[in-house]
Amino acid sequence: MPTRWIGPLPAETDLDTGAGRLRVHIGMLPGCGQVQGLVRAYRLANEQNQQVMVLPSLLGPDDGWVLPTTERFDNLQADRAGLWNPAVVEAIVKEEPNLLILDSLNRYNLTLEQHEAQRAAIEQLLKMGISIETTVDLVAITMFSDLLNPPYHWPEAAKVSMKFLRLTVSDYVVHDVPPTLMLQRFYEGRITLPPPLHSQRAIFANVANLSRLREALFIVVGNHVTDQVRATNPELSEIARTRDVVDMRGIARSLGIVMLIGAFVLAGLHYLWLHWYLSLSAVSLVLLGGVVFTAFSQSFPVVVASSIMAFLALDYLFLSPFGQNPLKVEDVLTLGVFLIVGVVTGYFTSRRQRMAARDRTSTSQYRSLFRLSHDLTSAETVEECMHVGVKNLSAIWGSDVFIVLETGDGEKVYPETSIGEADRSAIDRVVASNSFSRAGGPQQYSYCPLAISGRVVGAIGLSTPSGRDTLDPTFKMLNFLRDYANLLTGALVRTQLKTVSSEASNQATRESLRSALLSSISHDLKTPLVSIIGGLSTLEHAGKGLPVKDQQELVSNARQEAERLHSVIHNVLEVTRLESGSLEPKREAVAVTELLNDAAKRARRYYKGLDIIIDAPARMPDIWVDPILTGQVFYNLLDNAAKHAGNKGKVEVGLEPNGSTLTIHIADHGPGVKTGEEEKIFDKFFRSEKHDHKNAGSGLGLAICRGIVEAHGGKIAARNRGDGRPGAVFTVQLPLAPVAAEVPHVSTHLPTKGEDQ
Amino acid sequence: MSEVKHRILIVDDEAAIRRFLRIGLGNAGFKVDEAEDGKQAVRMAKSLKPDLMLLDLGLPEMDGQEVITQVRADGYTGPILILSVRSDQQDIVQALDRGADDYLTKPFGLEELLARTRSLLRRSVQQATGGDTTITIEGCITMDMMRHEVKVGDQLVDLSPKEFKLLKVLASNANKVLTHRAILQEVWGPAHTEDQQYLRVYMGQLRKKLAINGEEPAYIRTLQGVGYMFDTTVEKAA
Repeated sequence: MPTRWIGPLPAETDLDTGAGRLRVHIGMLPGCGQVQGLVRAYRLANEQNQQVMVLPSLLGPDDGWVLPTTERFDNLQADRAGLWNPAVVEAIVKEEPNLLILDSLNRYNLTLEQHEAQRAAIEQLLKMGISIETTVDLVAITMFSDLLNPPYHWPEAAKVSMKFLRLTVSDYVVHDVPPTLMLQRFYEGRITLPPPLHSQRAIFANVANLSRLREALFIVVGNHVTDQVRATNPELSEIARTRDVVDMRGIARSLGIVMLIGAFVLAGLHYLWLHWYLSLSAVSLVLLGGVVFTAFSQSFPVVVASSIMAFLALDYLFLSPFGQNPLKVEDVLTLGVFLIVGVVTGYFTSRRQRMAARDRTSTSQYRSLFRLSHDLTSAETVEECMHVGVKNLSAIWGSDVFIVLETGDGEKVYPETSIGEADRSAIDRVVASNSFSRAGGPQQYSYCPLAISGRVVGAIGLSTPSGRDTLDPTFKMLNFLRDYANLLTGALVRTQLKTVSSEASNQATRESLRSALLSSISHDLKTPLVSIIGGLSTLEHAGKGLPVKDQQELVSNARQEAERLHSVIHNVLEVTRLESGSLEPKREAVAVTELLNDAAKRARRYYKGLDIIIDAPARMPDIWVDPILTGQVFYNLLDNAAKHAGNKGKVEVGLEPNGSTLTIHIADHGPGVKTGEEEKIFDKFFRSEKHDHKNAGSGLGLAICRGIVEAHGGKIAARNRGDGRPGAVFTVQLPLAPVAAEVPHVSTHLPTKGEDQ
Repeated sequence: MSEVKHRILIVDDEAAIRRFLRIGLGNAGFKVDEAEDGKQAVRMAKSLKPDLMLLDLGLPEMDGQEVITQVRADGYTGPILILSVRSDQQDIVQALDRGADDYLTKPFGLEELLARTRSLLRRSVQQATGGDTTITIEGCITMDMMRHEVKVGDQLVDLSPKEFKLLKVLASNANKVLTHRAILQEVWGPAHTEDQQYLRVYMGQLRKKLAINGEEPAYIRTLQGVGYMFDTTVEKAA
């Protein structure tokens, strides 16, 4: 069983206890705040002239790592090895420092073996009396297996076991900054992301996500609170006992029952003694047995009373019958024996009972806190938090509970409770002094303050449970209430943050969309303008001096670019229309080849030399679409193919009827679709990075395609050519026209399905 | 037009833009070559040794930035004029730091292009002939590099060593855009390349000292977010 170290920082505690202490500073991101904890520990230890060793960090000075690394380690570990390296541990053992500072327990590329080795090394060093200060970044929490069990289950593949943390770390130090501030630091480059998260920068760095991390942090802290409650309760049992209420009526009743049974037993014994010559020792044993039995089952005063009565009965009825011959030395001895047996047995029994009762209370308090922290994680709003808080507390308290909360919009009471005048002033007192207030006199409820970092924001009101005169004043209960209130206010802060952060993240999303739109549109609008303005200014500047051929070329050049500009503007408007949901396809039966040929003609006009091969069977069933919109889809796809396959590229178009739909394949010989981007390329403003420069698309063309196709109830997808050559294939699935009603003879042709494939 | 035709290499992936540049510059008396991607540009710069390169930054195959680095590494010393449709200053600053000389933001008119092209070509000719020890802009400023003397009109101007060095760096790179970074590196050394406030302060002092009748010199042009340029063409135009 590992030792627990509960207590103040090394500055205030005696380090020569033979065993070192492990302190873990928890933060959300590497270098985000928990390093400050290490720095503080480092300073304190230095001030006390203790020997400190610092393992090199993954973090650079820019990430907030400011501690000078102990040089020996620099030489030791070219690969930044840590405690899993026996050589490093050996070096530490040789130096025997008072304090070892490790930047992080959760380095990101540790294997399970390395992690186990690190864990063993930590335990070894702690046993040697070397204290360790280190950090855990919650971003890496997915790599731990059971830190937050049971609310979260981490995947089997998780590399690092957090078990030892739960066992040995009694002291969580939380260094934590609000998500908004953290985000700011992140963008300023003051926070580093662990390598596994690099690819997910954008996903990771939003306020909502950071709030979730914060939430996880609260759970850790919540669990810690419950651990603390469990750990501290036994020490408080002494106070609890002295405050027990003496139940006189209960004692009198039990005494009566004991005397009644005792009288019967005595009558029987006396009869046996008189007529059957029962030996005196047997009688004494039976009486002693009675006392022991009473001691097992009854309270302490009853046991004492029954011991005395048993003695009196023995003395008067058996030893010196009928009251002759009062006290002798033997009698005193006998009385003593009876009393000792009774009292000792009674003491142990009642102690055992009390311990059992206390364990039950502790367990239920612990469970209650745990349930609260668990329930709070799913509470989204202040109301839900309050609801959960009231429900859990009244369950353990056994009586009415309500919460008064000061919010921005004034005071709120959960659930609705009428508050008397005396109670009102009691609440004011509690809020002003951040202390408990007990019910009594006109005051109906007892109150426990709800504080967020020292500022009281409300109070928990507790009505007095029936059968108790007043709020059970045991320290244990007050402690429990404090923890409970802390947990609750933590959750309140979190829900407030969540509201703020979701607004912030929506805002951020909107803004990033807007800026993407601006940059892509401005590029698309400007590029044709370059040729238009350039061409026109050339004509103006040197118009008459130019050969007629050149003049014509400049004019047609400008004209073409103006048309291109028109198409860009058209796309932008189209997207606006699609987004506003006002797009309603006007369907009719259309020959697909006509639409394709038309789109190809338009594409060829712009991409000179583009080779579009439409491979269509002689007779194709018509499709049931809006011809203008669908034509736009085909043009956009050909345009996209031309952009990626180059001006003189070859584009193959294939058709494939399939039941009630027609599938159109448009295949190019460009570089193809990057794996993982098959879906994304249809997103608005998405552009594959590599071809960003050349293919000055707005990132709207494919988004428009998807919008239109989906408005038709069709499907669109992209993949790479399967034949080993590079190139992308876009597949559009559109509904066929209802054949039977339209043109009867077409239906006879439908079986060509087989041929087409 | 008695002189030898200057040879200009146009690098842009947009055929329409190349077309108008070819006609416009051809008509203005330049010999024009075209490249449509980065790799081709690097090849042609090496083989044709053009007198000037017009370079678009967004190129297929090889990014415009890389083209600059590559071409300079191949020993091309002629001026490079960046044509950028992006208003992103950072791209321009990067290109200038990699060795480009000036930039034009698209869209632009032919007159503007011709003015820039000529001033860049003139500068490169001056450089090729060895450069003078005195630099003069008529009626404005005369600098004697050997004597460390600067005259505005007929008046000798008293400049601190740093101010003189700053002016010298600017003037000896006349008609070339110098990024903040490049100037800081030249004048204050590599440790101070990020200290833009130094530059701003000294530039303010320098301009005050070079002012004529309280009017600060127009030939030191501020290019917001990019850097400064000692522009010998400005004063004549004015």
